[in-house]
Amino acid sequence: MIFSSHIFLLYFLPLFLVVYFLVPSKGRNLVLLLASIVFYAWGAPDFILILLASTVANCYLVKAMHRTDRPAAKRLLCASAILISLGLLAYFKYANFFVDNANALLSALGLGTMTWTKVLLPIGISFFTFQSITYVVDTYRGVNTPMQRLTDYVVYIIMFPQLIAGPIVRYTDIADQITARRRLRWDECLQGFYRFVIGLSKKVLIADVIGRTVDVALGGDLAAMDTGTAWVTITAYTMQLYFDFSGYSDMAIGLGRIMGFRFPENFDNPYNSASITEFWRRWHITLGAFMRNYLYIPLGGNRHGTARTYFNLWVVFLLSGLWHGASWNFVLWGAYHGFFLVVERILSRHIPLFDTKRRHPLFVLPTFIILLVGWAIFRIEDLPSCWLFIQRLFAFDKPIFNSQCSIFNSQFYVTLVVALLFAFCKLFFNSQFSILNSHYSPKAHIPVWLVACLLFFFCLGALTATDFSPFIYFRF
Amino acid sequence: MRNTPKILCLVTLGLLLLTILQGATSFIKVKPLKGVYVGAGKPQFTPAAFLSGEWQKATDQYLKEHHGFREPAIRLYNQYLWSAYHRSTNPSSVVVGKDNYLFEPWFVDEYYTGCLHHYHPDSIPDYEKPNIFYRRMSRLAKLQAILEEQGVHLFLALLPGKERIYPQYLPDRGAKAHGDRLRGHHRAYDYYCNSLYDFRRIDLCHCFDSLNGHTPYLLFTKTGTHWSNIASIYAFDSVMRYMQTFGPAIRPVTLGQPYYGSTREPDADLDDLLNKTFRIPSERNQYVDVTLAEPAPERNPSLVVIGDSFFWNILYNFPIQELFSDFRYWYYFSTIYYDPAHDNVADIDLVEELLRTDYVMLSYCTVQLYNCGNGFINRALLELCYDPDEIQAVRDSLSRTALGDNIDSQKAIDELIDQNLEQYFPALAESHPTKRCSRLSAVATKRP
Repeated sequence: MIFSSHIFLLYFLPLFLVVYFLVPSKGRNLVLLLASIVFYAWGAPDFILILLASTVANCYLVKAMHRTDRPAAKRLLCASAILISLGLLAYFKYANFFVDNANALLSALGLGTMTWTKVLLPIGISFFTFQSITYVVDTYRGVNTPMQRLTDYVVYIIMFPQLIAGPIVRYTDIADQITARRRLRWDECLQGFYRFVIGLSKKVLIADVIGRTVDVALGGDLAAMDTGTAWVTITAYTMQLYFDFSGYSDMAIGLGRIMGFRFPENFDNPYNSASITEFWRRWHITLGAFMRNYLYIPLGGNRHGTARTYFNLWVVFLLSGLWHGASWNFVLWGAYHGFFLVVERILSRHIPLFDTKRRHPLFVLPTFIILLVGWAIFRIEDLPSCWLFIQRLFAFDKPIFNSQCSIFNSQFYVTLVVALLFAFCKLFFNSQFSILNSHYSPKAHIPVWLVACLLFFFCLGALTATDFSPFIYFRF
Repeated sequence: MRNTPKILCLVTLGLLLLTILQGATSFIKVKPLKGVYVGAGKPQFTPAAFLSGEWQKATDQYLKEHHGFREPAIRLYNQYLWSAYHRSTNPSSVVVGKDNYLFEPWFVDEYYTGCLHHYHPDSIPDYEKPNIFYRRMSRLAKLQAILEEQGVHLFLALLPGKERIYPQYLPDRGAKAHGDRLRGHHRAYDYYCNSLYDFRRIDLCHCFDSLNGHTPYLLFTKTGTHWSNIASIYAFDSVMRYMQTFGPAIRPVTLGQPYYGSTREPDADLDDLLNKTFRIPSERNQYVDVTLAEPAPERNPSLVVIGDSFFWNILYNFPIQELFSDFRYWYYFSTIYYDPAHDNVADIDLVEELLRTDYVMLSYCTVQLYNCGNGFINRALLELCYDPDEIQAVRDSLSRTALGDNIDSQKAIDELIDQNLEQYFPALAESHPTKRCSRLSAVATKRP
């Protein structure tokens, strides 16, 4: 089930909220757990038992790890728990990729190929794997004690608002909220509703509209694409990705807030960044934090000299790329970002102008262009096609923009401009778009609520109308 | 005021629950959406369907089509698209031309490339399409002669499309999109005019061409796809006069004085198909009332109409069942209207139905001319000239030899027969092919 589906918006969510609000606070985790199981089973019914089994196993392994005083046993139990999580991720997400590449290699060597039945990727596996790792590692490090009740732990792992697309909530950030969150506050619920509607609007009214045209553009003949169309397309994809992903995060954060949780922020105007380093502090913040705490620091971080730091940085981004998808283009995308991060580190050490700690607005545009090329690698899985597209970006053949063959319509352009304005508004206005986190007086809630309801209804119309194309009469 | 957040939360939840209730009971009447489409059926739950995810997918689609307040939600969003971007919200059925004139896409195709390109775009080479067209016209002439021998008056009424009357309002984008196809294309009407076969017909295209710009009323409305109600009334009045030049008398009708009225169906059918909140502003249309006049003939003749949707205008405006004693509408030679005994032409005894009819009218707009009859001509020819077991024998032999395991074999056999009718049924080439058909004689002797 996804948030922008009718079943979720019009049936699952209202019915869940009614039950959630009606039961006493002690029973709310159980309601949330059952709802999350239904939510997940709707999309991946054959995987729910594996997910629950691995979660239960992890829960008891961590409890055992916490109880034991022997460091070796502690390490073994910790490694076992991590291995279960990563093993599932490796099997479901990377087995196909590994076998395909191994077969390509074997075939090139004339050794025949392995037979293999493709494994389907369970939705959200990348996110709940990382969450379970934070639980294991934080408990191992003594940051937190393990959950006493199994249901609380399962709620942490499969809580439906952040199950599918994050944000990746660290165990330490939410442990107390699961066991002892405050009673419902109507004001918070309303704020959560506003945030949810903003996220839904970002996804439905901006990302989906732009995305439909981007799909058409990139599904066409890339060799025949003019430079202008290529730039507009990749800029549009850049916006689509941001509004889609951040919209989903907004919806997750909003839903959490309705239920009394405070999830961490996942985006902070990333395209306003003046360096790739800054971009990664603003884009998918919870993934960045995870990579830093659970990969970069264990690898040694910056504690083993400059060369090792650069190496660690690059490896982290290589793996981060692979986390985004099991395909070489994602690996290349990770390496691409890792490369620029290392270059920025080197430049900032030697040239004060490039000091990433001092933000220079002039660098926003070149940073954005680097990001655009990076998103081309991210979007176009087939590497030769990707290279062809990048060549078209810099071909500058005449005419630069062949408007005769343009596939872009006025709705696309208007939506893209609106998206760009929102994405770059922080460059021009110092304050963040304040509707997200403002606290309204009771009186001020009324107009905001009206706007939110209208937007919700409008999004519903967009979702419903998109594929609705009736005929006057049936023809035969 | 302190309780405002609580009240707003509860109202929000109440509204969401109201939507569920509306979806289940439709207790609040809302303006229904216009147009027809094949909706998703209610999915049947089975454990296997659930595990495969098919049930969930089907349920999602079903709820998308049946949720509460779906109609105003769609209308609101479509109105936004129209008002902000001037965009068709239903591009597969409606194209926006200049000055907000609306067209159906195949009319635009017809104008820019000719409808022979529109049908079978890939399966048949372009050079072969005119031959298919000419074959159909020659068979029509033959069928008309056969039916005339039996006292059944078959004729073709050819109606113009909107693109023919108002080409100045067609979108430029159509011309750009069709590129090379524009050069040297021929429209179905050109082929029709070049056709040397002699058959009874009334060509309303010429009539509309000569009236264009000289009438106080619109021949086609700005936001409809069919001829305007008033134009269709005058046209069918002419058709009825034409029919009586070769067939039995029809009760006369009186046409009233034209008057301005609020838009009636289907004068804004394309605008309605956009399913917006408000209609596109356009000038008021004129209407006339049709009333029965005297003297009534001794016996009202019977009429079968086979054709496209243009005939609906006639049905909206004429007291058709009082003019014709036994009226049947074989819509696209598929669904049957005005016949309590049958729903589909697949269920009828075609020979019997034809032989109890005085007039058979093929009513097609030029865009549909390539598919004139929608299979009626071939089927009627065969059933009038061959006995059913003979036809079945040929079909069986074709399915055994020519098609093998073809999945859609019935349709494929029909296409094969259409392409080679005279080869598989050589008696059709004879001067009196019906003589050999015992079935026809049996039905004919039973006629009153």
